[in-house]
Amino acid sequence: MRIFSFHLMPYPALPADYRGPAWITCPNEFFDPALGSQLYNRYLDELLYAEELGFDGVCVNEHHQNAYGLMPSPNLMASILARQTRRVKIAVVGNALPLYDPPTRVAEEFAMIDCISNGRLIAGLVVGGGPEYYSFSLNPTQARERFSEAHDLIIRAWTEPGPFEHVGKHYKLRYVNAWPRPVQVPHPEVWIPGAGSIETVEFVARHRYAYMGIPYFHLSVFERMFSLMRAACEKEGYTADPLQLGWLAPIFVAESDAEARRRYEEHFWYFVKRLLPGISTSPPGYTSVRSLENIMKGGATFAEFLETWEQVVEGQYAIVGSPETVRERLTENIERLGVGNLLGLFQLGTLPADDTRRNLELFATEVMPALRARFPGTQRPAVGASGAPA
Amino acid sequence: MNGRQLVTNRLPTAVGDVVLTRGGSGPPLVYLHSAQGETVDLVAPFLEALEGYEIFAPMFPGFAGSEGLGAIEDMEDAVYHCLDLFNRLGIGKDNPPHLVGLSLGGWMAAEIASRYPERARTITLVNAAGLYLQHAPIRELFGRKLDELADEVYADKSHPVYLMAQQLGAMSIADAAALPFDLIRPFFEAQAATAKLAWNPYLHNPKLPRHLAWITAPTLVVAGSADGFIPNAHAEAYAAGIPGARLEIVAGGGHMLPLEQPRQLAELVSRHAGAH
Repeated sequence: MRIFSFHLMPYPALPADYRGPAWITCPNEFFDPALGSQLYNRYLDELLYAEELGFDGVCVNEHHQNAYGLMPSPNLMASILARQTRRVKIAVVGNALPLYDPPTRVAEEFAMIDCISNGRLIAGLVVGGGPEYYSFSLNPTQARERFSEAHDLIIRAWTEPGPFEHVGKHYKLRYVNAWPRPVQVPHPEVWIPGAGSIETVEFVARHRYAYMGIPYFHLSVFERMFSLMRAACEKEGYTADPLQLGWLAPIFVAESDAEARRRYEEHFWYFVKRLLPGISTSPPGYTSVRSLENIMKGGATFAEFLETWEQVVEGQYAIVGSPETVRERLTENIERLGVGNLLGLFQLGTLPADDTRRNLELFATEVMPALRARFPGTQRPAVGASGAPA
Repeated sequence: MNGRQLVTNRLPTAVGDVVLTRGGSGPPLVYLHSAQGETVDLVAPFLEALEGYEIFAPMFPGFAGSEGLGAIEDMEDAVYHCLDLFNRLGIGKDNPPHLVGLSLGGWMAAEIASRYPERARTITLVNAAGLYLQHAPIRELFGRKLDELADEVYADKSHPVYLMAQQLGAMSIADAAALPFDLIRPFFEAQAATAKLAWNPYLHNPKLPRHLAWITAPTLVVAGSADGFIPNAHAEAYAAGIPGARLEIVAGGGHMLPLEQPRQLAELVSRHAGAH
């Protein structure tokens, strides 16, 4: 089991009377740069603190034109972390490849971060969220094709001597010659986040990458997602390693169950009712009709539609309680899901700095040791560039 | 139509089999549908009111079970697909059809007639997309709630499609997820097919304004005065840009004119096509 602290870097100060989406059209006049200055520094401190507390890694991600997560460039955050940490893995989950044109930019920037951190980068490659196709006016019917072509190009840029020519459907590049090259050989570990699209699962299985289940659904949706992934790996002729599976969950630990709920609940509701609306926008052609049908089955369990705390607890949308409760729940769920990566969100919505730090501390001292003892093993067998075991 | 039945079949084309409705006899007339992908059951009253023509109403690849969208990337490919289809139907260069297009289909008709002027006997552009007017933007088609979009495209608030959209729009997410997927599949497919052609640039071709001068087919531009989706200024711009074009505004007509006022529109089309 590897344990990560994931930060979304949310905007906690949407006006109380604003009830529109947090995405695409959420007016940017709501963004207060003075507050933004404090937030970025505070949130980075919270990630740095995770290293001090013994986490295996930290995670950042990419979203545009929204209040849900203030990281249009996760690579800027990751480069700061690369310089200010010494030990932890830095997972960028991920770069939305179709939004980079040419996508060799991703190969370059990831290689820079891998060099600065001396080989601690985890390279997340992602199609980009539905809202991003509106925010970039990028044709969603080309999302999968562009992702696939950009992926192949980036891996080639990292593993084949340059210069070489790339002539694909969407990108035509006469000279591909990526300087710098990554420290990790053949290339950094690759993670792919997904929300149950069959195409994505099959892609991850084929390349023997790791699949990160996108959160905020009922636990049963994760179960289905991960069993799809395991089945896809079997179809490729191998058994999925738990370290190929990641589960992202909001986590909050306090002295008692009652205290935890009292301190946490309002911040959770800000997150699901104010920051999630708009995130599940699915532009036309972004997923195949086959996947859409599958995703819609889970759609009604999306956290945005939660109404009561009992539903939150029942569906395990957030793991909240005393150290004992959180230990039990996490152990149970990790076993049930069969995952080898736990990605905890220790700050959520409007959760203030002092509560976030206390949460991280309690988790690190009271929960993490038990998980480490129960789920040993933090290394996958080495994997070659072709995807075959080296 | 001479009272003959419309018949729907599949027809092989270079990109795949497409769904085609045809019927009647007389000079050929092709109806190019809108981004809504209105199927023959919805558009039949309009087509049947067109007397004395052989009617062809193909469904574009990606719509209503027509194959071949994978081989179509943009409007240029769409035009070639239409020409291929016309050739296979015997309504090619030697026997060019009257073209009638609604919205997306109107745009397609203008593209065909400007690139290959000899391929259309006449054209009728009905609430046509295809142009960008800074001060009169086409409303958003993508990512809309069904009921809100229907409010803009239907002036007739008693139309069955409008009423169905209102019902679907009022449903909770849980109820919507419980609907048979086949009921909503055509909507997703129509949106995806349209996005392929028209996501960016949004529902227009920046070069089209300077290509309109190449159109030689006698042109009728029709707009519904109550079209809440494409402002009438677009019809005016088409009429100003196409040599000799005539403009007709249908009082009270909405965006889905062939569905809402089938007889009035059929009369305008018959008069225009019949004169050439």
